[in-house]
Amino acid sequence: MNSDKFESGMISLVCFLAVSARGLVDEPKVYGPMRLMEATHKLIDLAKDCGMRHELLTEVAKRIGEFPLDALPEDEEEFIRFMDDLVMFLATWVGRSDSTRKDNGKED
Amino acid sequence: MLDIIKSRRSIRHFLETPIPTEILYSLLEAARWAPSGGNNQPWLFVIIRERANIHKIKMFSPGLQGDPSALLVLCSDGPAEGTTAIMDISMAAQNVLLTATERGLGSCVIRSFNQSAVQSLLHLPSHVMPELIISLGYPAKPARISSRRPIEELVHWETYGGRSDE
Repeated sequence: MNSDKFESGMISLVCFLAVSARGLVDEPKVYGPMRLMEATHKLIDLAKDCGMRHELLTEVAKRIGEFPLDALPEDEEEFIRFMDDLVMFLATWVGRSDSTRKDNGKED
Repeated sequence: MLDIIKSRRSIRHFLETPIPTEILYSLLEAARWAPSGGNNQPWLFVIIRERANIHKIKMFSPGLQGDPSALLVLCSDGPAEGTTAIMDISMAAQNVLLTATERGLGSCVIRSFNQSAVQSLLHLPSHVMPELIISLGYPAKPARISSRRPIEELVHWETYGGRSDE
């Protein structure tokens, strides 16, 4: 793991989350899930930058990256459907996975 | 002018191409000629071009997406409450956005940032408060199609509910 990348990435992410938390007090409700989706993507990017590869995380990042988050809040209903699908995708994956195997889903 | 107004979009994906200083000055010129209540011109503008400085601002601006080549921070200079300062600054921002569009730049107005944190990062004195940030850069991909509510839904002639005969 590249500790410099991890450290700077973590600081950026912590700032993003803390500043978002404060900002959301005054911002439209839909910005909350939007910021959390962005944070999810940032977290996966950070893990990838630090050498962690996992098929589930790669797929989640791909799905979030393909969703037009910047089109919000015009497409709020589509966004909700997107999150529902993502959650079900995660639930299906977790349901199928063998949690006893430590390397489950890890990519080479 | 209407074509420029209609072609402006919020752009969040930028090329790395730097913006010539002359173009940045044209944006600032447009900003300072915006209308202002009592001609008070209650604004200050900060341009940020250094990649490291943009990154620092970005860390405290959840609404700032992509990697813009420059940021223009529009600040109130003096108390904004009880004055037309915010409206004046908003009009200056619109001048910047339209000039940017005319010059082939993409732009996006950001209000989702922590004002106190950005004030601190920019070393602004206490009477100067960042109110809006505009991210600037050459667009990396075409803007998405946008829409507006129909004019009939928005406009009332003479009094509420009044229609135009023409």
